[in-house]
Amino acid sequence: MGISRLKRLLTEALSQAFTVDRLQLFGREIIKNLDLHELTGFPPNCSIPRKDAANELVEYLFEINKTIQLIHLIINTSQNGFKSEKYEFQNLKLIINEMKECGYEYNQNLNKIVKIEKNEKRNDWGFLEDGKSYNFCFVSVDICGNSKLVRKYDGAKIKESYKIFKSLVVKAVESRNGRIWSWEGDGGLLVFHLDDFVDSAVLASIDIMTSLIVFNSTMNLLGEDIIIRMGINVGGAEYKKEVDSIISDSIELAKKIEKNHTTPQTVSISKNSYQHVNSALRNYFREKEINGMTIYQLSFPIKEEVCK
Amino acid sequence: MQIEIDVYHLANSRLPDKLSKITASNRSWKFNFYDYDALEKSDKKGRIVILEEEDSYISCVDVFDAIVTKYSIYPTVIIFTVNRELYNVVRWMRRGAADCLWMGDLSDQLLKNSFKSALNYIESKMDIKAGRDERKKDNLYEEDKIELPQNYDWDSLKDSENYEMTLLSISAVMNKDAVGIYSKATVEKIYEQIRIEISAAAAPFGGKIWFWNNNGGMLIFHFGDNANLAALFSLYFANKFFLLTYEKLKLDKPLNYKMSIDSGKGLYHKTDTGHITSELLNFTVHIQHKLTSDNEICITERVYSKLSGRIRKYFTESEKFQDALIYKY
Repeated sequence: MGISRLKRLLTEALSQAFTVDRLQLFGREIIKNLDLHELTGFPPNCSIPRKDAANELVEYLFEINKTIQLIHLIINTSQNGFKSEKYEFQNLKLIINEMKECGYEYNQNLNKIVKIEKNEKRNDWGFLEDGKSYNFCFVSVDICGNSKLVRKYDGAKIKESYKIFKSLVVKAVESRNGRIWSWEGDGGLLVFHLDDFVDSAVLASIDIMTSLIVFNSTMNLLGEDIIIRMGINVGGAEYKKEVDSIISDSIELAKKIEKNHTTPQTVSISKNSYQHVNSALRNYFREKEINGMTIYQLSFPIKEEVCK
Repeated sequence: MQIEIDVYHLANSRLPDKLSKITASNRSWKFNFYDYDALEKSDKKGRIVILEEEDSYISCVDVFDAIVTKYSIYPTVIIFTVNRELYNVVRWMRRGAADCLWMGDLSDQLLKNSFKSALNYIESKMDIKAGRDERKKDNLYEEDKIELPQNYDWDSLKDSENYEMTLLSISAVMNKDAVGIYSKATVEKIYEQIRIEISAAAAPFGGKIWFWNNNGGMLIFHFGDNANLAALFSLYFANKFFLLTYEKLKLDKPLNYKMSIDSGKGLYHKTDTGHITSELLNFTVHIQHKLTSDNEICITERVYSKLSGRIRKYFTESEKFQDALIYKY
């Protein structure tokens, strides 16, 4: 079970599908200068038994943490062929099952192998690599006048109301494949990376604002409405496992937009990010010049003139 | 305004002279002097009390308690002491004194500062009082919380009986730009999808689609605080409508909605909705047809008057229709 079985299955798959020459070419998709003779210790003038070549390759890729890449390549080859030739891996299903046992799964939509998310959503969506840069859409969300509310109301009521508020944020964000990278009681940083991630960020923000009407009317335990602000910005950031330690101008701009350029009950989006929003969504936003910055805003509740 | 300060001093104390001299030029303060023995004679109307300590906290704390408990409003107490021990000061502060001054240090400035602080304290207490009023408002807000119905059973209603209900007429309206873009079959599918979404969205608010025809229908709310629940649903759905058309229906040209709500007694029948005639039903439909523009919600005064403060603010008075005041979102 587990790693050793996975290795055995991979060895079987490779040795059945490829000749040694083809296996070398296949392996070079992962390691450019792969030389199976050097790897197996067989002299250059000796032919290497298929099984030995496959076994050594699998062991080596495991050693250098490239097993996931190998499985991904096998899956892609089974779908699209390799060097114009079709290959069949008879035990592919078993490999995928065994990979699941080891905590990974193949996501067809993403065409990626991702770590399985059990109870909690993973900040890296199961595949982001530490130290690599990616594009994200960041949403900074904050409860307006938090310190005043904290001073004014009983701590338990604040805690409970904020907890319920967070749960509606989580629902709106995770249903659109977003993640909450940080949360500090009264707000945090929401991050979107997959599919049409800018649209997803905008839609999640609208969803949160809309749900807030129901929250304030039915669940808010404080003596007044909870009012929020949201700032959206798209940009790159170098991913780190400790997401709190990620430093990015794009994140800072999202926070700045939310804090300095957004009125209460409003979603603001930076000019640059606005260009990436689907035109049907764009119609809902109004261009505004606030504190010397051009931004696009949608205020809640949505008023009739906005929809026209 | 002159501030009255009640001074409780020891017999034969030089404190009254001292205070009078120091503050002779300052008419902001009016001192009422009482020695310990004359405690009962005090009018007890000063907002600030000065208590001259006998020689320590221990020997004087009973006098302190006796004085403060006699005032209808707890006064701000400043202790004048000859005891320079820090712990003595701490004990007085813990007891509730606002300040503790050493007799040897007394000066006009020191007194002014101490009285000022005492006044600030009094004013902040006034703020607290204002805060209490605010808390009353908060309580009203808390009482205005709308409860979502947990268990309700439409089968418990009998056919052809009159019930208290709130009716919500809703229509999805194709945007002018979108007319002609979609085929008839697509439009029918869109409206059917909208019906399904409305049905699902109304359920947590205790509402159900009573009847539906093509692009619109009638929702009925009966259980719980049905007027508030219907109005809250309308606000929620109005804001969510855009998400629905864009995200679920994948329409480039968004649809518009129209909603009207009225509340009162009306005849109920589970299925035979085609033959139901009630004033409530007719009025709700008429408001939507005659008064409601695209992306508007119209509610009658009957609904508005029942609304929780938490959602009433979203509606503004609009016009009269058949002698009834209409409010719009």
